[in-house]
Amino acid sequence: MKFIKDILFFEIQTTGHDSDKDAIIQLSAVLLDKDNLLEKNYFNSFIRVSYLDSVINEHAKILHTDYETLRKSPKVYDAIKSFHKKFGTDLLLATHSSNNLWFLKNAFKKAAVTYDYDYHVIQLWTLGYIYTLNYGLNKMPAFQTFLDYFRLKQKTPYDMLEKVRLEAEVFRKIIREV
Amino acid sequence: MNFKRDILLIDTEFSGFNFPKKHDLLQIAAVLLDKKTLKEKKFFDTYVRPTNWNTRDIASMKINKISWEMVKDAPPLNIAIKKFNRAFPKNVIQAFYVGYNDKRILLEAYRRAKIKWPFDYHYFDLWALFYGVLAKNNQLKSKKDFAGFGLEYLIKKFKIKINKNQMHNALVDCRLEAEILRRVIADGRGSL
Repeated sequence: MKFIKDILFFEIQTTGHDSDKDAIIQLSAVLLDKDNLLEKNYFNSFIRVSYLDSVINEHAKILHTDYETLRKSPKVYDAIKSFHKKFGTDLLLATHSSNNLWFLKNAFKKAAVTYDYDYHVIQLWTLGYIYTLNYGLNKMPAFQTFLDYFRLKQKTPYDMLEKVRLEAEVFRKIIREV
Repeated sequence: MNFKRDILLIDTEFSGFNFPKKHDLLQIAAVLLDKKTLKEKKFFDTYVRPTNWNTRDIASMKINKISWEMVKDAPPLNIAIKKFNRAFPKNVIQAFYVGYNDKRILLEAYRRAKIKWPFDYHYFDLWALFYGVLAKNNQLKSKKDFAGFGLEYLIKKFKIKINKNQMHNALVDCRLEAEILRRVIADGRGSL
């Protein structure tokens, strides 16, 4: 298989489901080489969205980390700027569900960084749905469905870097197998 | 292929991306495709009367080619959304072609019409599906498209006859995307 662009899979941990009201508190990504789909770079950062101790504590619980680690984590401006700078924009974004993309775009807006990626994005859920449908799975799949199907295990469900690496592995299997 | 649920392929046209503050949703169209045959079972098409016509984005209007004559007598947003909402069953899989903006604008339109979003939150992105199929078969070859293919590439590949002047009419685009979906699935190599 040949891809025209490297593929950047990203995944997020958020404070809730509403991309207009809630915020990203962890951003993780892996860059896949266009020639072989192997990981050639990665990004992983917690994001501190408040100075309030109570809020930091609340978000640290979601992330399964400690108060001090999160307190010292970058603000959204710094995290998004690093993310943007690290990979550039000559790549194709990919993620499990489109909701993640709404959060990412809003984070760019909050950070006052221009969102200048191509508007096409690989949505893994669509590919996974069609793939598992072909092989007899009847239900509306969730990410766990794909992991079960490919016998992959997520050891720490709250770790977005692990999750995004698993998403990349599901993508490789869908594209390479059969 | 049995999709388990019928597919509701939706397309919208708008006067710019800053909806609802500055721009309007101008057209909503959809086709309901049978889950087994992908044949069209029902369609919906309406223009929407704009409230921000004077602040329309010129670049967007060049693409959608919608004139004031076409929308001046159309139903207002809340009525158009109510009609759309009544037109289809809810136990469907929604599908869009690169649907980020369509879905976002449709969700906001439902909010403004004070109707609870009745569909599952998942949706098919047909672009992603076509990308996966083409990648698997080493067919991402169009150098002028960012990711190796575009709608025009697929129209050419499947030799679909279309009046290019009609493209970007939401209903025409829905039917075109439905036809490409059928061809991709029927192609035999359409399975991922």
